[in-house]
Amino acid sequence: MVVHILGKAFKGKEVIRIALASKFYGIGEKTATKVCSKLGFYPWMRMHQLSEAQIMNIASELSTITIEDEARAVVRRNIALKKSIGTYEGLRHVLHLPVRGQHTRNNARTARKLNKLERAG
Amino acid sequence: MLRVQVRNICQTAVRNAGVAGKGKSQGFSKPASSGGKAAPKRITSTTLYKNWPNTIHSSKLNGNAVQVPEVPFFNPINMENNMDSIAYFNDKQSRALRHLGSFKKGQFNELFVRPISLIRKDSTEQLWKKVTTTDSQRVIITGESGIGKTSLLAQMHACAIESNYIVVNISFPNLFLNGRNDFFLDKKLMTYVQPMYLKKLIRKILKANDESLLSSIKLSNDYKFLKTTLKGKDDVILTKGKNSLLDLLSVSINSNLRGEQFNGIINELYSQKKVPVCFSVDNFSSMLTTAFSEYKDVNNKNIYLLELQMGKTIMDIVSGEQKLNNNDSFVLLATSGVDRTNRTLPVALGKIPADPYIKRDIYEPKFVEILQKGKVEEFEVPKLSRQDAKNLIQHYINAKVVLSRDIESKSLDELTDEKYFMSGSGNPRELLKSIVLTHK
Repeated sequence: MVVHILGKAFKGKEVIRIALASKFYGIGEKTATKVCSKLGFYPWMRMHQLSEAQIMNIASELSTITIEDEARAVVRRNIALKKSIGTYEGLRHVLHLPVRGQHTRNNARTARKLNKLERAG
Repeated sequence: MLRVQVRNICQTAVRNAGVAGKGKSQGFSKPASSGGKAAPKRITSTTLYKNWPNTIHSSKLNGNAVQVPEVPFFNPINMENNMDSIAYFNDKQSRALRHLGSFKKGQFNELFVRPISLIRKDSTEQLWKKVTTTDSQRVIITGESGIGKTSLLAQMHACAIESNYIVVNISFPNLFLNGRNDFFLDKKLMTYVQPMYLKKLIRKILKANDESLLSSIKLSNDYKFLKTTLKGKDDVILTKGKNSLLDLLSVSINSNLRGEQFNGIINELYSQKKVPVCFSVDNFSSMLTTAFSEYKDVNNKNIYLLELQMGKTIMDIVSGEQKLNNNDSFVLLATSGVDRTNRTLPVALGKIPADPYIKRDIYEPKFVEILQKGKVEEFEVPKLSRQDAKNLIQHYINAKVVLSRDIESKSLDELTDEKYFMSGSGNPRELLKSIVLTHK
């Protein structure tokens, strides 16, 4: 049985708090546990046990949290701010290089991949 | 070479383990298989990579065990005949014990045709006398890991069943503490109720005890469960003096009312004076060491044990808040070697002084108060004597569990001396391990 929450599909056997943390950008295990506790789910409750009303509750609860594109936008905004005020960190982002003092003779693959004008991921 | 041997052993085990039936389908979306009887557990070569202790426990491997002739049945009424010898539980006892969850995995029961038990004067008889003839109504069984606390508890259950007690056993308190069962806050009872767990527990009480015994207890209160069948239309009304405890146990009601049903059952059990009740909790140490369960309230704080209905009920019975109206009733608690240990139990038993500045994780003053209020006494399971070990080894030889290499090269006395030493001077689990788990 597949359960859909905010456009994402979950398998029935997935544990709710683990599934939420793994599918939504901006939700980790801590936030997911908080949401589940607030709605009165037990820690190991699974997706197929949810009723329609409970799915709606999760959706409305998640809509109050900054997740997905909004959360990504926050990160981009912060980088843009650093760039605009001319900090060293902003410069490193523009140069596709590590921001926090890592060596750059070799590797630095993650920074080269992600640190762009518009940061990916 | 070794690998080939291991593979041979594995394949033999798999071949002997049982018929590979059609396993139960795993998906949630698939409909339940038709027919009432569950398919036999499927054992394939890949089973070895699954959780093996669970598999050997539940695969009926004992079907291939060697029958040992002339093993007597345990007779709790006249224990003298069984004294210091091996006994089987008879059919009535076995059925009850299986429902109660008295046999556990890791007890090596799969090695024998039916679970064996060593009836001992200084443990079985002494504890039974202690709870039935002296004033002590609440006893906690302690002892090192593998010494036989759970086995002793099983013997006590068998004694209680034969002596027409009603037996209620909480075999694994972790089940209502580890957050694997559902829960909700019952506004009426003001506790957290766990319907899935309670359903199983109520079924256990119903199946393990004699129906005529349960139906002999008439209800002392009226019970009304309104709109409670699956479609939510029927009312269940049980009347005082007319309906019995059996009716209250066997009534099928919606999960939102199950907390009330369980409360009713416990109240009825303890308010009546007619039938004595044996209430037991195995792995009680897990309750003493986890004051806060894995369940979380709406504010994301862990729920305290006494706020859970199960925890509160058990602790009320232990503390004496829930009075045992029948004088023969008793409460048995058993610690477990697998649980974490802390200072709560030693302080409660007066072994070490209390330290109020210590963390709650290590010392929980409320539980100490409860245990002391209930005047819980300790019963330490003694180690096996050399003669006990000899009796056990003789049975193991008869059951063909001992390697033939060992039997041929040594006499029984020599073997006993060796294995008794290896068992740490009389630890039954270590004794059996030293015999069956040292193949090379």
